[in-house]
Amino acid sequence: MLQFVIAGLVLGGIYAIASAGLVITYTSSGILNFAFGAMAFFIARFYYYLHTQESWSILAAAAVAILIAAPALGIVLYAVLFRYLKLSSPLTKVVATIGLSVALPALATIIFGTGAIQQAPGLAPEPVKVFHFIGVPVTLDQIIVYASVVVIVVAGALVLKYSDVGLKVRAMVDSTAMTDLSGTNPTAISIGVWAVSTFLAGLTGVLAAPIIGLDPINFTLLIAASFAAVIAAKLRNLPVAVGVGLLMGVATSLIQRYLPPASAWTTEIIDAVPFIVITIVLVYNLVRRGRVGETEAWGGALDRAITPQGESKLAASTSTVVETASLNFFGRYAGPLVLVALAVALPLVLGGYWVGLTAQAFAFGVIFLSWTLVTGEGGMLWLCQITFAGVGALTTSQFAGHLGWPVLASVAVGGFVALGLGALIGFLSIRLGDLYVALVTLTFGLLIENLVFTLPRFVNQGLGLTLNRPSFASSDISYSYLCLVAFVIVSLFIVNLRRSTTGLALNAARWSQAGARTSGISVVQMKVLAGATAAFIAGIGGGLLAVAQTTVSPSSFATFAGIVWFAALVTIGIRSTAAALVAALAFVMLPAISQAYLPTWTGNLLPVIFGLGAISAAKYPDGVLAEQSRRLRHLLQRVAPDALADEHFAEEVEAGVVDTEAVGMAPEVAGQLS
Amino acid sequence: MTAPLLDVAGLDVRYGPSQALFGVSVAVEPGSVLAVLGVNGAGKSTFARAVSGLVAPAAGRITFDGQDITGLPAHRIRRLGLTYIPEGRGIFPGLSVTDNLRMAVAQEPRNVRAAAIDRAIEQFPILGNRPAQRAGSLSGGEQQMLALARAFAVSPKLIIADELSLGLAPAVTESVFQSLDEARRSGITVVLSEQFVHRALAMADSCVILTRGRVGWAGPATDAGREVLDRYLGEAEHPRPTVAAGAGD
Amino acid sequence: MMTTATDAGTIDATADQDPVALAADDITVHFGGLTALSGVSLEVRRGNIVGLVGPNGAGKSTLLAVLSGLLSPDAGKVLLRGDDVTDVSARHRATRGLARTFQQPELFMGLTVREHLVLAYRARVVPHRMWRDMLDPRALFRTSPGEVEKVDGLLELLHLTHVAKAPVAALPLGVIRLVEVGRALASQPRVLLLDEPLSGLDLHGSENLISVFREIVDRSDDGLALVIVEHDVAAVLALSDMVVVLDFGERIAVGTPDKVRSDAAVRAAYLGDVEPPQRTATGQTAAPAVPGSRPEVGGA
Repeated sequence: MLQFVIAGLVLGGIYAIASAGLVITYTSSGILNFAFGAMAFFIARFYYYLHTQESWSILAAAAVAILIAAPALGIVLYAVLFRYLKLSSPLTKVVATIGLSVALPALATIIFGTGAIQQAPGLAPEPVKVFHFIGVPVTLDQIIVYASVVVIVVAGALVLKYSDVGLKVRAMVDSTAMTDLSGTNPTAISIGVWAVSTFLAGLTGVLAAPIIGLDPINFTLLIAASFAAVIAAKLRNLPVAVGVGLLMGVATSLIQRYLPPASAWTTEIIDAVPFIVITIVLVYNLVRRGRVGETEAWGGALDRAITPQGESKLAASTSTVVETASLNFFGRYAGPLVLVALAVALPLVLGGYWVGLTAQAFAFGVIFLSWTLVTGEGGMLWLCQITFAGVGALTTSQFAGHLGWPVLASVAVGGFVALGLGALIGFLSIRLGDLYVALVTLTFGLLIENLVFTLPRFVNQGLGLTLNRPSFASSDISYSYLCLVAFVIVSLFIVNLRRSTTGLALNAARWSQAGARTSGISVVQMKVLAGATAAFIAGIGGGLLAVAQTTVSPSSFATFAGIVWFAALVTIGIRSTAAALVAALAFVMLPAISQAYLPTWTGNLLPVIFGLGAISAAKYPDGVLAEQSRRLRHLLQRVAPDALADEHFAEEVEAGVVDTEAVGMAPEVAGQLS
Repeated sequence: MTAPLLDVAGLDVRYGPSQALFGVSVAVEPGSVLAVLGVNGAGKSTFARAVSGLVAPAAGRITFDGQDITGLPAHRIRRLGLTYIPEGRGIFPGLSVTDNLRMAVAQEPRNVRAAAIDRAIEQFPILGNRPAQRAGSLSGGEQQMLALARAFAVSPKLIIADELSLGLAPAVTESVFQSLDEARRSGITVVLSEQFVHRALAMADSCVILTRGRVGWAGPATDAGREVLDRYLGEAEHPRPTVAAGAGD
Repeated sequence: MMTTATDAGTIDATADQDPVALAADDITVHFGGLTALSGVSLEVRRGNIVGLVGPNGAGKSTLLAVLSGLLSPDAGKVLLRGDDVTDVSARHRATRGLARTFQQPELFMGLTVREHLVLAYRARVVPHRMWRDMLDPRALFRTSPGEVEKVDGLLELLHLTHVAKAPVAALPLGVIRLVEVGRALASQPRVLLLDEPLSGLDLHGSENLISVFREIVDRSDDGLALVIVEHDVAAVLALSDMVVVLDFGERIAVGTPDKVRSDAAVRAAYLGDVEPPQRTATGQTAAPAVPGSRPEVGGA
């Protein structure tokens, strides 16, 4: 028993350090850092580069990587990114860190060289020495983990409690505005906290590398597990986060001890430990209080009073909404119509291999539309659309393959299975708040990926499952058009939904909960409706994609890949259906082009571009496509001023301005007293 | 006539799309007390936040102690000797009483910090009784005393006190105002925004009434009484006098 | 109010004749150790305008939150036309005819002015359309004559017709307050709670909105009642049939505007006099106060 506790404390210690890093960034900056795993990977990869590839000594490599490069990474990221996110909505903050989590690992591969590394040395010299405590073998690597945890916990507690710097950090967590009013520069404290947080990320990475290898996907998993401890700590309570992190490690180890080691079930339970913790915490909170509530947790009343709430809330769409309203029919629909015409021409122009890719791209487009609905319209961040797509694909293969159903009917069944799961997840997470939706969907994706997608029935010895296309659309060209038709139908559905009563109510639920509720609209119902419908769309898209590829391999629906998909869509545009099509074409075609015609390293450039694109969503929330078409429109308007403008709207605004003054905003009127 | 300690000229403040202050001009003589009055939403807190650097002015110029402080961040303005006690207690509710005082003097040289804290506790002995208590769990009056202690600990030139009496029982309000009065007598200039109009006017030398983000009336505190009553309760018996009409004295 | 006969099928037509539209009975609310409201009662009669005033922090907005169902009281009851709705959610109170506006406007930033009214109307009258319309390709164009008449009438009344198609995100605060009122009225409420509707408006805007309030109550054939929380006491006293004054979470006065205006406790609460002011009972100031010379403080 004791030996399992000791072994469990290794994993638990790594969880604890990671959760501590996540909690201090959240409490001090309001940013839940989804890129923590990517940062850990980046620094661990840098350490491997210095120590193994460049043969530096352990001490020198560790000092440079963990003590210099890691804090420097945090400071640079603060300077170029995080400080601009202060006033952004929680959603924008999360999207930016997600972009970072996509870009950093790819960047590491470009800088330090390719190839996933299975065996990475830790901080102990090789061969790793083994000691014996009360008969329990303990490696030097493990001892270093224990020592790091102890040092960080003790030093952290002492610094926070007794030092001036610690006092200032605690003060800033309490209220940034009051800190500023007390004569302490909050920016300096913020920079320091980011440096400490990336230092902890770097330490986590280097400590974890010998255990999980140098694979960004494993790092995402590790950090997702740490999110469980962070959720248990309600995002803020440092001691609870560290404690739960340690306990999770021990629990994992004890399960290994008491469950039959050979059973596949055991490994699944082990993978599920973080998810079980999250479920317990969420259900407990739902039952006890009805909600967890994260928004009121950050900052004090004064901080909220001086933050231009309206602006940060609006950032996502005001400018576009206003601008779109000013366009006439041609200005509004010319772009999408041209795009569809191009899409129709594409399979005819291209040949062979490329036609097959267009079919896949159109299927991807359908999957992307699920985000257009749930994030673009619903304002929620769902990170498991790829899981729904995978569920759709696997269901299709089961029904079409094993039961012999017609393939399109099977695709529809896949959609409905995803719909059920989406409704369940939505119901569990939505009333807890935006950040929890992102966290829960991410963990759900990882759970399904590890529990369901790994079942022998689906993996089929790594061969996957084969599928036949419907007889009337078996060629690449005809199947392309089938997918394009599906895309257009789903697009029209979303366009219709947007301005239907449903869309109005969803919009209400998104922008003002209090306003919606007191108008008789249920926020939870509308958001669950959006989430479940989006899951249905993703399920359908996944089924279509599987049929396009004629095989389903569950490993291609890894949650991390889905985050890259999301980054690609955000880069092009999350709000328009046209952007979903462009993003899908770019996402499928660009890697193929790079593979066929460009040097291999360019393959890693794409995730970097998509990652940076998602980060830039903080500045251009509507994406590249909207931004470029806006510029195009401005250009056209200069050339032909009346071609795009809606005359009625111009009159209305003009009349509106006159009217608004009549209503009472004219500054001169109140001047009568002075 | 001495140069004003605080001189605000043509101050505009916007919160996002909406404008909260329109061309507000105020001057405060050294050693005097200015009362800033007005109904809720008139712009009193916005005025204080802009002067203390928490929100950036959209237009206008703020001069403090001969130095242009327009657009400076709050921590720099505080270090120049302007202390702002915001509405709803100027404390860190999550920190202990001692830590609150330590934060207040964190910018002072190390060797004078302890003495400054001692001085503050001497002034408000009740704070010395429970140094480790979370400030947020103190009573309203004790919290306000802690806020004042934090302000006095650094010997500021100017204190801006926003709604000091909010939510306090009358007896507590009394003692809070006494402390402020002592500060005034020791030479600290005070800008006071207050809902208890007579309380504020009893202490003030001059008075500014803000109306919907503009200076609606300004003048000596002794003349403000009737003006205020009129603006708060809208006495129907009087026609509203305008400042312009009363120009000749 | 106005015409609701055409398709108001889901709103019970048997408008009961209970003279009390909304009542709060002995409401107590604690925030941690702070008592925000202690034993406050309130009665709003059909067709009345009730003003709710009091100094900053007196508990007015808290009371409104309790009435609208956004906050559960620690003790006490809320009655909507005689029914105990204390445990009914904000959403279901809205569907039973209780609407409100907010001090910080809570609009739906993606929608136009007209869409706000249309949505509020449908949420009350044809709520099933919130679910069905997403699958109905004709949903965009389906409007009932009753809806058009109601929405257009309100837009006209509030002088919003010219900005009907403008997204609310582009509008100034004065118009935004009108849109909130319009949204609330489009849901055909029996009681409308207004939280500081005049704050941020200039004199002209305030007067305009006040005349709108008077008009909607007068024009209502269903006995619409208003509860208005406002710092502009003068405006409230001029508008209300009944005034309730709160201070430190307690009701210190209730009565007609004239009675409240001359109430010593009210003047004390507003002006901070510990003793009743040394002014005459009629409320005239005793001081010979013509405002003094144009001051050197401020101005110029």
